[in-house]
Amino acid sequence: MAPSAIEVTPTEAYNAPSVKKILANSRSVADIKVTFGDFRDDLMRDGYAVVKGAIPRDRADSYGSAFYDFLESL
Amino acid sequence: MNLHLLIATSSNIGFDRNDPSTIKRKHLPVINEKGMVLDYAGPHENFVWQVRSEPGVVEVFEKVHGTKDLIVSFDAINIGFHDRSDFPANKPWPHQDQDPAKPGFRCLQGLVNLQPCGENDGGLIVARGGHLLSEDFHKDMADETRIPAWTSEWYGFTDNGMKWIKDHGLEWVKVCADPGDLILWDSRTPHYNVPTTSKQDRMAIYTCFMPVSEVTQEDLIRKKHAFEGNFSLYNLSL
Repeated sequence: MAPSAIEVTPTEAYNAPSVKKILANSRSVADIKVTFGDFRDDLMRDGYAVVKGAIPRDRADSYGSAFYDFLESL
Repeated sequence: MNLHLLIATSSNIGFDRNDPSTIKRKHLPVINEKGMVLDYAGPHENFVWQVRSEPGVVEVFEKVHGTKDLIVSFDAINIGFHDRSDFPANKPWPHQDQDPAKPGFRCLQGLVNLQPCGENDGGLIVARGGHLLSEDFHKDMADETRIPAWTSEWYGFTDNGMKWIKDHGLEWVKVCADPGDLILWDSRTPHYNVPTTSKQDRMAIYTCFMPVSEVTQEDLIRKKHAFEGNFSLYNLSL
């Protein structure tokens, strides 16, 4: 039997107001009324943020080693 | 042509990570005083593309821009050696990477940190909260002579500009991170990088994505040429 509707996975994170829209109307921290509960709050408040462990440590170390390999290869 | 000579002159100019005496310009590729490696197709090395392709990195930009349709930058890679005795001084060049004539949040810049980066290690320093005061700053400083720049998307802070930042209570913060952490900043946030005062090298892969919808056809053609020619292009993902 043919499906009667196509199932769509909701992308909740992307239905939230964008950082760009929030910052467009912000001249001070008091103007920022939305919170995300993640690095975006730091970014909007401070103008910068650190996302811990965006890359797992073992892979980060292998990329660091590859950077030295590159410098040694020239 | 002597094949051995050819090989000797085209590879292995002598840098060895385990031998600090090889941290000399003559043993290394050209690295500018800020630590940027702009040539040698560095921005297109396999490990650099692997970093840009990391799901935990891409996801962050998807969240901020609110879309999965993103285009990636071909930014520089950065090495700040702990021994800088053979390199020109890295003087502060506090700046924004955005044209003051085009205000608002336009570009999220990022770098993936690959070495321990504490208070005394080299790396990014930012004027915390400066993004929110950017429009006020440029209104007040409209008559200030601009520091020459190769693109209108770069604004350098003069001594007067630095005084404005201080007078408005902004604090300069050294951003610390562990290997694998992604540091993000709004292009309007005043920033530069500081050399290390420790024995720790600094390593950064600049990583930046922007929505495809904000890119023009001309930009895409320029980007295609850069990819095919293995060039780097600066931020705004172009």
